[in-house]
Amino acid sequence: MLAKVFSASNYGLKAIDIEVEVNVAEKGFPGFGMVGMASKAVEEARERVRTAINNSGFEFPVAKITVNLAPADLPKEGSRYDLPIAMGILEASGQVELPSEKSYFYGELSLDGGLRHTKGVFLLAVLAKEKRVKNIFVPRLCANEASVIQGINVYPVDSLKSLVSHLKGNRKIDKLLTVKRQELMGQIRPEFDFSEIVGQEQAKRAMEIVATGGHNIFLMGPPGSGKTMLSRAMPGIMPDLSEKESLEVTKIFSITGNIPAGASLVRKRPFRSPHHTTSMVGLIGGSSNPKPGEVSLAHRGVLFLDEFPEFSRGSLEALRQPLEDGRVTISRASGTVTFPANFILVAAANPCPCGFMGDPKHECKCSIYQINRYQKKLSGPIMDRIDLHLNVPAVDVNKLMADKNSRQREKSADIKKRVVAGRKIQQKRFDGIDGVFCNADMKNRHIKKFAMLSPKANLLLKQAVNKYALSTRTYFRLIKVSRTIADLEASLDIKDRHVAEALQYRIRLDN
Amino acid sequence: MKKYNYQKGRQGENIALVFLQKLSFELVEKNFQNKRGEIDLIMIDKNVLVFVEVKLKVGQDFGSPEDMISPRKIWRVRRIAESFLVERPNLAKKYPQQRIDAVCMVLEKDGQVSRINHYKNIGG
Repeated sequence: MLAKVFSASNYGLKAIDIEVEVNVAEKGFPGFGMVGMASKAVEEARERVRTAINNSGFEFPVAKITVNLAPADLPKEGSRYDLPIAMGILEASGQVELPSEKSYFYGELSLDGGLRHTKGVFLLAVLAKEKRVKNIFVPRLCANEASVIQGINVYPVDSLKSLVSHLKGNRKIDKLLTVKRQELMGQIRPEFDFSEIVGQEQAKRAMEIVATGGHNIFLMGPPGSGKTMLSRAMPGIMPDLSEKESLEVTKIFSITGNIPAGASLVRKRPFRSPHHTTSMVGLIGGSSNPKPGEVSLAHRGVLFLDEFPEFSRGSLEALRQPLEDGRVTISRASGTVTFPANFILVAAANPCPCGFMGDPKHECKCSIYQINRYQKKLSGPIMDRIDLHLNVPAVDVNKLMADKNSRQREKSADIKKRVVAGRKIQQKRFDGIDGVFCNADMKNRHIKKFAMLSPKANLLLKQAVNKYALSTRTYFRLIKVSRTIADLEASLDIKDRHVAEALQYRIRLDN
Repeated sequence: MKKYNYQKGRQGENIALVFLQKLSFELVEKNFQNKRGEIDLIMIDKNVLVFVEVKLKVGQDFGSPEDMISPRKIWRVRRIAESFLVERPNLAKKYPQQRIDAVCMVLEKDGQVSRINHYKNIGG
């Protein structure tokens, strides 16, 4: 007998309808064959399905079983076809009757017949809504991901056995109620609070601007001055994701399997800090069936690259497109995929290989050649795309030891309040404009509309551009940063002092 | 142990032979051997030359006999069958149609046949 079960595959960030056809033929030599461009993980479903069916108290038919995953020319990956294949075999051998209306079955089976956490459930739910498929059956562990999407029935399935008794009408599985879009992921506690950091007031202020406007920042300073600490404290002052942003982030997290069991929407901004040995594919995304890389996992969040010049040259240059466009387009033989990659870049570096160039107390031991080679890694085009450049000097240890008023220093929570207020202003401003959430997202046409400079500010900017020979890109980026600084003061127009502050982060006075 | 298996194999081949003869198959040769291995039974079904692989299992404890016929085993039978046809060109000419069958049986511990299945054309 022939059974047809529906499931989904995904290409890039899109889910695609997959028809799983299972034929159980009494004639012919018994066996279990699979066709339809199945990868190794899919091929291995045979053993999982066979054992799971036997261990759930059903009978694995002694017959010639052929499974076809259609469309046959599309490569299939992952373990999600276990459940549809098992259901197909059970129906084709007359052990269960599948619902007559189209439903999606999705999930990896464990050998005991239970369902395991499976990637991509959120995308399946989006597809179900788009194709008007009413019912989806997914593993209970990741059913919450799907429950965010309204208008579909999500059935959380514990095991093959419970699903069969549900379909037979013996013991119904209750469909999941659409959850209110609340945070179900655990709160990520930042490693440091800003109140723990002594001194570095200018850097803290810069971080605040970055968090508010979504700008990129480059921190340079000798080892141990607190660059890493400042960056790691950053999640504590980032505003939570808005609803729209959250849906985008959840999509990416869902296909990479980054959503923990039981969680639904991602509400915390991602904070990714890949090591500097990360490969280009790991950073940007890729592989023959393109997968998102760190830049996409940091979408709407922070990408922290410590020891910036230690990254391979190729990786750094590959950051150009995502920094400019907020997305990466990956072309492979199998097709072209675009992943969103709109992140705040926080880059940290030493000024030279030994780290002490320009330090008043230590001698720099690097040769001119070494310094040149080190700084050449930070190419013009990359540095031009970074809005704020900041020197983080070493803090005097005596000052550190004398410091006792840690309670008087501002806590991350207080800074966050200002950041959130600044974001609210931006949200109102960009309401209804697709893809623009903060000042850094503005395109040039938006700048004319939303970032009017006062005459004095305009004059100041004009002088600075001429004196320091700033590029057109830098000019526009300066306006965006000024806009953010003005927002932090809730000032409607951009005044000369806002531009002056933005300029101070931009002009690097090299020694 | 090895010898015991061998005896069981022979016993299974005899059971299969009687079973197929009842289905009006005619025996051509038993246990055709060469350096590549052995074909248990070679028979004629109407006008088709049939190479038969016999599998026997005592009890269910070690899996079904069907599981013991892998694609590799089928491939091996095919190779030996080809060399059989080379050795007997007359037979090959007389029976241009050929196929590979399998007879799988499970015996009770006391030697009673609990099931016997015949699968036609397992060579694909």
